[in-house]
Amino acid sequence: MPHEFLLERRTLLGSIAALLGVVAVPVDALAGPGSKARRFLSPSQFGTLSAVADTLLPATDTPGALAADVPARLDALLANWASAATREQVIGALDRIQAAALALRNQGFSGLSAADREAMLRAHDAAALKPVAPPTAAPKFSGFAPTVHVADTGYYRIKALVIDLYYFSQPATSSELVYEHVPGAWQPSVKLTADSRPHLGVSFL
Amino acid sequence: MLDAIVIGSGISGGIAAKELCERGLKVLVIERGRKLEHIKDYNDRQMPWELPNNNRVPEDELARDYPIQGQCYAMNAATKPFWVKDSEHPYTTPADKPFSWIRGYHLGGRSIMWGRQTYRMSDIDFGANLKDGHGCDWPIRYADIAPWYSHIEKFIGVAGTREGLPQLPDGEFLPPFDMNDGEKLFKAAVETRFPGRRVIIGRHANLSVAQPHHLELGRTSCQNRSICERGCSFGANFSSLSSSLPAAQRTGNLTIVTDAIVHSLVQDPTSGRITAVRVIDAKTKAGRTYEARLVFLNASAIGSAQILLNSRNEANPRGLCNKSDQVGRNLMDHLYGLYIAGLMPDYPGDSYYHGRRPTGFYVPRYRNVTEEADAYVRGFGYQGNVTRVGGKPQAAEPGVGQEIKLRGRKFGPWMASIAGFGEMLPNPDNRVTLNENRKDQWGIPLLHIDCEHGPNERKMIEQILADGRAMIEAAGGTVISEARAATPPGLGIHEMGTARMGRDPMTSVFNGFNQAHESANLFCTDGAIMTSNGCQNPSLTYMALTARATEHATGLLKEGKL
Repeated sequence: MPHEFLLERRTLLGSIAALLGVVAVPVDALAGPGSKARRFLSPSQFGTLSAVADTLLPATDTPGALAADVPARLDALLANWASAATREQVIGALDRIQAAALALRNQGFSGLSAADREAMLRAHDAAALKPVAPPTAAPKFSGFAPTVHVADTGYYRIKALVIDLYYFSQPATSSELVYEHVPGAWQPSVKLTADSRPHLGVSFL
Repeated sequence: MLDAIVIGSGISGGIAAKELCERGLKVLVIERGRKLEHIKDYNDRQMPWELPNNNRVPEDELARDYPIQGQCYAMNAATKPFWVKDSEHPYTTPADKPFSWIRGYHLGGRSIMWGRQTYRMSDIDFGANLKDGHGCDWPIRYADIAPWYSHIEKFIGVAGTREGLPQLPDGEFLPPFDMNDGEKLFKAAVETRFPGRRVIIGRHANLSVAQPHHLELGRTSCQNRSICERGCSFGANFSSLSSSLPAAQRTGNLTIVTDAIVHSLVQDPTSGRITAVRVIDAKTKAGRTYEARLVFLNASAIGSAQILLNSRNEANPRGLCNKSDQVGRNLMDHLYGLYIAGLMPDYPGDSYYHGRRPTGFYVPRYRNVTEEADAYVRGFGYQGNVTRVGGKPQAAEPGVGQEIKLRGRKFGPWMASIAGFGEMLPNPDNRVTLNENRKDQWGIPLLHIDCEHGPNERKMIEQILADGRAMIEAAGGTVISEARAATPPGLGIHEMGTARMGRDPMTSVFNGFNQAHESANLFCTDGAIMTSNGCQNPSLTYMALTARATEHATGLLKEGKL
């Protein structure tokens, strides 16, 4: 049976509700829990990653990426999962964000105010995720995994990892979107209410 | 002496062991892989964040050790222990003919990770070769196997609906898992627009409602987790570990040896009987032999062919039971990877569902049944589903901050996804042979797999994609993504045909009771014996033929004819 197709729906969902506000986080909290642990990334890179994760998924009415320990878990992925090419992509993308902040404000990205980080990353995100033509050598069959061709693949991968680590975390699955490990009975028709939210499926990576 | 040896413990070997043990035979199961224990060795209880790397296999490890297995949708950190390391179990192919051989070497084999779709073949399938002249005629028809389909369905537990379709005979079904509201609309639209087509709930080996004989084996009803490929601690999906091997064990007649790689069979040159099974210990690499009055070969289609080919001797230089020269030939897999997805904007925005149902819907074959085909023979079916878009936000969609969370909370439209599974013709040039230049670490010649899709398959692929588009559009959808080609053969994980059944010893390897033409006490009941492959998922047919063959073999044994 075909499993969930992980389709990028950028052009399908249209515009989303207006930004409701950004919760400022003290800069010294950006490193997140366990910040003194041995890192794969340098302290500067880890600070940038923490600020990026917090800006992508801030604490709102539900916990954000920092509460889900996303920076440390992503750092662990770089150490234990990522290939040299992936590490290079991710670090390169972090360095570009840092360089852009320095060029714009003469200050590292993690040192910016929450509002400035949000504004800067929004512009960076829009440019980085601009679609580009697939390489001519791309395989004819793309399989079940999404194939994304954007201007800054490294940034896309950071964002995708942050989102995945956040949504499949204990804090997020108990507050943001529910993941039920043992759903029990199959209910084929459930009426939605104003409070309904989608459930998380099984993540095929 | 043992009564019977079963080589392999996967979906057909497990059933062979159960049926032979229940008929009172003392049975030895020889498994080339390691021992696995039901429940204890599964990773199905961990939450996503508890799995290594959030359920990712390290990229370098994946590229180094699993370049083929990593192509399978079900390969992840939780299931990694169930796939072979390609680096340790190599095979060769022509450079321009990739073949994705997906394998699991452990007790229970691929029955742990199988897709569980469970369909009967019909007389349309059993008569196909005779009708259009490809391959040789099946030595059986539907009536020969129908009671054995029922026998297996009751034991394994198959949820489904009775539909009265000649091309997809009904079976002994547990209550079905119902369609959701989107799927009901899709079904109504497709069946209205295309009167010869049906959209039915997928028939699958998950216990919708466990029956007393399932509970006796420790199996319980499905919890709708859809992580079946990790192994199911509820025993709700059928596998050798949850079902057939425990059933065999409770007879007191079963012995299992693991880490024992079958090297070859020894044949008595006078009687033709198999007198011994040569085994190499996977760990120590020491050789030993086992003897029994009866041997069942259930090492998987390609694995069983390899054993027969490697059993060659001076009198049989092409391999054992191979006077027909058909051992290794006619390798087939279902056309796979042919998906089409579309959004259904007018489907009800206020409807959802709860749980992760372990099946989708099924569109039984209609080409060359109720509708003509576009210049090809045989046909195809589709598996699919209609689900709500939503949940974890997509990273490629621009946006940061609270916007991402709000997007994830919003229900998107319904999306229909369907994927065609098409029949491959038996082609003697699609074959596996022994690589005369390379051996594995146990001294067994590597296999060389030479297989490709032919003109009939290429025409069918075009129609699978075109029909899929047409059905999604007829159901009110807009296609947003589709495959452009089938995957390499093998990735359908339905490999079959390498030692086919037939009436004529000069054109086939096994007879109508799965008994070797050239060796009376050798039976084969895995995918190797498939004379053609239909378009239905094949495991049920392997199991039914296995049960049928065990009755025949046991009868011969008791009559003193073996």
